[in-house]
Amino acid sequence: MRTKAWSRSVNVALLLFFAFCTLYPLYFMLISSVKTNAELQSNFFGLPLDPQFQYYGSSLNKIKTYMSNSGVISAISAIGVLVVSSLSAYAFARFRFYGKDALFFTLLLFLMIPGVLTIIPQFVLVKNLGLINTPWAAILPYIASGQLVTIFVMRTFFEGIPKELFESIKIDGGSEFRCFISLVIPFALPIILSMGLVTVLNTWNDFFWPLLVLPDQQKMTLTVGLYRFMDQQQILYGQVFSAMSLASVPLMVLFSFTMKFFVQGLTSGAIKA
Amino acid sequence: MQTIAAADSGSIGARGKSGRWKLIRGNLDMYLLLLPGLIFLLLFKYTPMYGILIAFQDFNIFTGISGSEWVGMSQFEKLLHSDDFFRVLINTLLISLYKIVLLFPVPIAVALLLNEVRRMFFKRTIQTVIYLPHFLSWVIISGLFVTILSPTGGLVNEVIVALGGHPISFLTDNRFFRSVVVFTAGWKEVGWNAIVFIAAVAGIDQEQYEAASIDGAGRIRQMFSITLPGIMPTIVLMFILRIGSLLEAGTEQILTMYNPLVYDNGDVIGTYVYRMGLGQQDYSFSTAVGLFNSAVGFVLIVIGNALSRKFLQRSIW
Repeated sequence: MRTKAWSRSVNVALLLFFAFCTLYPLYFMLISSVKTNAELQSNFFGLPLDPQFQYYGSSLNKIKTYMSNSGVISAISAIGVLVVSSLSAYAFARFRFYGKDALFFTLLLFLMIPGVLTIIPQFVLVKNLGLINTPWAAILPYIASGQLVTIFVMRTFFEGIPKELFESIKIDGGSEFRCFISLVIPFALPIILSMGLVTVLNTWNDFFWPLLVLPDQQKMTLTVGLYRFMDQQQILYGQVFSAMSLASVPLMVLFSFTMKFFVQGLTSGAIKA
Repeated sequence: MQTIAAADSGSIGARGKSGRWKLIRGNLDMYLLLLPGLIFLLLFKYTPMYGILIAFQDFNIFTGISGSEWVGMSQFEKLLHSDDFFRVLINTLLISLYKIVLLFPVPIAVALLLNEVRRMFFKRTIQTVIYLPHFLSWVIISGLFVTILSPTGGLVNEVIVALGGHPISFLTDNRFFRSVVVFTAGWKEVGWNAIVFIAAVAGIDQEQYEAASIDGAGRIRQMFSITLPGIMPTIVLMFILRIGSLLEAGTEQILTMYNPLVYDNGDVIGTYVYRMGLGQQDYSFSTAVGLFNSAVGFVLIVIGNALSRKFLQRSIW
């Protein structure tokens, strides 16, 4: 009995330590966002003595263009991925047609091609299309890449919808379009939301590609903007950390609330596959 | 209804050429559904594959692929004769191996520990907390750790000095840079990677535990005799998938963290391609680097898969 209590407290202590290590840098980001450089030096660990909330105003001013650029790119990419992949996934899940297996295999093949192989040719392509410094330079490749895994996950999910439900709509004289809109979409809503969130997350946090294709100060995404922001000499730490908090906290809050969908999407892909 | 009946009525392969066309025409609406996805695939995934040809050229962006001079394998010769490339390849493999050896087991341990927690509230709180860093961009994480690890006033160095040591500049010292890369990658992804294992643990039949405790097995014994074997298929699957990205040592992470002082130990293939291709506009050479890298990666996956099939009786194909 005694060893049981002992091992249980070791377990709890380990997990608490782990959670502490995870939270400390985040806590550090938040407290440092309202400290002056001088206070950051003298009072590294503690809560701010004289919180400088105006840093949030000034950093918001600096990053709001980047934020709206990222917002537009993430939103359009997510909608694009969902529309394009749900149509394809529907065709793959529901019908037999000539070349189906070959097409699906091609999708999987593209999923396995390492990004570093095509990044330069893709950059050259986007450049030749004249898309550099337009949001489409990010959005279109994001949709092309995002659809691969999304089609894969959605197809598995759509195939799980009972056939009888389709039959009953057909008997009532409904079209395929009607099946798609009033059966598949509501049925698969959790997975659709989850794949949309995954796309938002990946595109919002992506750094490498926007660094290549959106170098213009006015067109930059948030990650690239923050990177440039930190690069500057004469750094005002409070402002940098408040910009980081503004860039990350809303996302973390959003995802804490939608974690259920997220985990569901992730495990349904990994466990079933 | 009609389309399904038509397609189901005979096997596709057995038809002649005219039948095949009829089948395609009869299902045109299916292809219409696939069309948007295929256009994206063709334009932004397939066309760049064709663009890989520039690895065999001395590519000039103004004349394009058709107008550039073909140079055969000379980009690859340049690559094999460059000291940079081998340094970069070795860095990539080392960082990647460290990440696998040191970080792959941790999420499994976290999932096992969480399984022993009986209070649901505590379990859920810990889970949510350890998932959080996954949602941060590498730019932010690098910025944070650069400050926390700073030799002047950073948390870690304050502790080192308080214990009587000398401050270490972790991010500009070649001896420490790789450790920093591995540790911060762990901070970001360990909690998140535990999700799959937590789900696998939840899927284990509870009756096995009851039977074991009737037989007098303690919690620790149950962990090693039931939980761990129960999630072993998931562990092996995740491990093979992980091996598949052996040559991706964390391009974004290193790009946001490193500086010329640590190129010796920190430069990896992804960052090298970036510096050569975009920094020096040497598109052909950096594509050759990417191609070589992918070929090595492919061979490694084939070997990893063969080994896993031989020793673990499991494989991806």
